[in-house]
Amino acid sequence: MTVDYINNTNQRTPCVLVLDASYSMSSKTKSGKTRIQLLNEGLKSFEEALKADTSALTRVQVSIVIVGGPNSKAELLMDWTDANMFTSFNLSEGGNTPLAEGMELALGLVESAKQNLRMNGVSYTRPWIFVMSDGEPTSAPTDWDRAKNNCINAINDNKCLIFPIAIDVDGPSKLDEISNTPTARMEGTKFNEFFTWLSDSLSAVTRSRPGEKIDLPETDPWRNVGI
Amino acid sequence: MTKVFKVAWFNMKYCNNCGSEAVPNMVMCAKCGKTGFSEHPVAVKAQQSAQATQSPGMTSVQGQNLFTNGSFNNTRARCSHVARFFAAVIDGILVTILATLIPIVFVAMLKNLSSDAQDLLYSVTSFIVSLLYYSILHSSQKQATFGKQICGIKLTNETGQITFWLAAGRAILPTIVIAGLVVLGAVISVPMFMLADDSDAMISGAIVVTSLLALLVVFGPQALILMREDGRSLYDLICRTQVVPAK
Repeated sequence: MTVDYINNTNQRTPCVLVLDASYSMSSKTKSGKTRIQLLNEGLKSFEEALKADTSALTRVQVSIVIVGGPNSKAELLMDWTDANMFTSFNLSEGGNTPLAEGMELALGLVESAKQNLRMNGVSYTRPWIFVMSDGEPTSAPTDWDRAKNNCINAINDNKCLIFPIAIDVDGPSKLDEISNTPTARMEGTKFNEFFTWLSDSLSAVTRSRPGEKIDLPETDPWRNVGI
Repeated sequence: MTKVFKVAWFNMKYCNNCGSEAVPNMVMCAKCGKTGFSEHPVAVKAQQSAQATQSPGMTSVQGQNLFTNGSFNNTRARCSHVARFFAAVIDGILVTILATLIPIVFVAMLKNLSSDAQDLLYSVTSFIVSLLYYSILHSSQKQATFGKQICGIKLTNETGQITFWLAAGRAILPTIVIAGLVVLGAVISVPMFMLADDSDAMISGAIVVTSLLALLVVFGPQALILMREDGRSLYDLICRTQVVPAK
């Protein structure tokens, strides 16, 4: 982990990105680029937006889980990293969408981050988990049910917030089942806008005080339906 | 107030499998999905290539991400001399066949030409065929001539894609360089032969010098392949290209 608790004791906002890197992400969008290419560009924008914001730079922690990808598994791709050390990279698409395993992994990451923060005496806001997928999970039904229940329990126990985002999906999505927050429908070409929004939102959260309600920036630039 | 904090130092690392750059805290390679990173991809790959069972004439070093950060990572991905030699031999045979047959057919199709015009046309067509062979194949998706494809190597550059005009320039370079060196050789040799008069010793000396110049003309640019660690010839250096394993 590249997390500096000694020199930087600011309150942290842990954020896990669960990114779909399955084969379906190779679908071309209207812009002529594939979804994974746009996702990679979005990650770059996320890095730039985080680093342009001094508040987010010292207070946001990011971790990335991919589902699918070269190994067609749910895997931790990037361990907890302070925003100032976050560097974007290019994902490769491939394989299935084992989202249940990805969610379990994300929940475990959130717990480990909180444990580390507590051990180091650093305060933190409620962690965020963002799940972005363009398809249905391919996990076994029993795994999905278990992951779904764990997610809902984690939200109800105030352990974390889960924001599902369906990419280019119309109608009901399995993602609706893993959170109390309605699934946001993102147009497939709006990754840049989404990640810039995410950085702004994280920045707003890092400036908040315990118990304070905050207004997140408008999601209009990237969503179809409100979060 | 935001406290001053130190930025943790991160040495650039590379995937041991595919050579992709790793970012801080990366657990697995985002490109190939393998774990294991190293600060010195050259050393790791060299070790692997020494241990691995290799196909004839090939090193196991991969040609991906050859040029990073705008500079050549020369030794990371050069192909073996043997592979390059056999590729050149195969291409030489193919080009000879094509550059002989096509002009013959072409000249035969054009009637009422004088023998001088036929000879000239034959030479020009032959040269164009050779040029097109290298230009088209090097700028194709495989970035390799048939000889290179058979030997599992390809031509690449900083951008990873060879354009037709770059390939054409690289193909025509030997002609330009050899022509230049021939002129230089003539400038040096002719006066020597003239000065030699009837002296056997002087004529022998002039022959030796001329032979050495001829060797320099033909093999000089290619000799760099053996001398340089990155295996790049004079033409590669001029065109900023490198021959690397295809996979």
